[in-house]
Amino acid sequence: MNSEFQADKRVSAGAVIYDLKGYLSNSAEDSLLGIWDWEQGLDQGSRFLIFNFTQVTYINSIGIAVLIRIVRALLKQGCRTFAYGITPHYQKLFRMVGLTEHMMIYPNELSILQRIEYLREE
Amino acid sequence: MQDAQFEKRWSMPGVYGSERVMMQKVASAISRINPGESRLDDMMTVIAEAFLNAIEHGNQSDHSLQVTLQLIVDREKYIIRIFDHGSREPVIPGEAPLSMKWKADHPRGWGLFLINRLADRVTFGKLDGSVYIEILFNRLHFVGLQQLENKTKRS
Repeated sequence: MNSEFQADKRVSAGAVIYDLKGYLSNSAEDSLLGIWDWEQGLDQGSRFLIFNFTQVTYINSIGIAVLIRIVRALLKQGCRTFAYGITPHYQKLFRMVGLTEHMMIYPNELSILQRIEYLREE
Repeated sequence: MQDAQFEKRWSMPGVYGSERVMMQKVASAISRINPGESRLDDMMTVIAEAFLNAIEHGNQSDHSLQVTLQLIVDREKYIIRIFDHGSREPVIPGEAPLSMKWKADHPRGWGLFLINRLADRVTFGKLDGSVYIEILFNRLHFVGLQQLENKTKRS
């Protein structure tokens, strides 16, 4: 595991959650893309992925490209991606590259879990 | 160009991670010149992306080569030049539509995309055998002053 980046997985209320820490840059490329075969969807039959960015201090275009690959792969499998803890500056970058069309940004984890609960009931 | 209020150069090894150190050096300088600069985050992202392009494209990932940043600040603007050891002046490629970029197998190349959107002007040049990208940010208080002056002249 690269010391500049860490992704810790947990499962809560049927959603797969990755707590990201450090720099979402080239150091995250191998870690995040190698951690799971995203083309297969999510494990345990989950349809919802949540990225927690609260401990991410730097994101560059390499990290953004990694996120696009994951979000795109999951979309093909009918999975939805959510995120929280993103600073206004990085939210602006995500909007510029079109990420926010497919990765919904919420203020915190609780609001995402509530949204997921609603989606499950639909 | 107005007389420079501040001018400084920094050189760093062209390796991943150096871009973050460079960001800190420039952020520290700008914060001394203009505490609370509202476009600092945009400038930092632009510096990081231009630095990464210099490593990967200009220096062709030869990590023994350096990347140099020059910061010039005057009353009107910030000019950031990032020099690499590329042999030819880069040409700004035509930008693919967002939908096409998303479909690419390896959707990279977002660096210049972001630089173009965050900065006020981007140009490329060659100086003393080095290739550089020049990125300009207008100082917003100056733009505000100009607008006020124009308004006063008209009234």
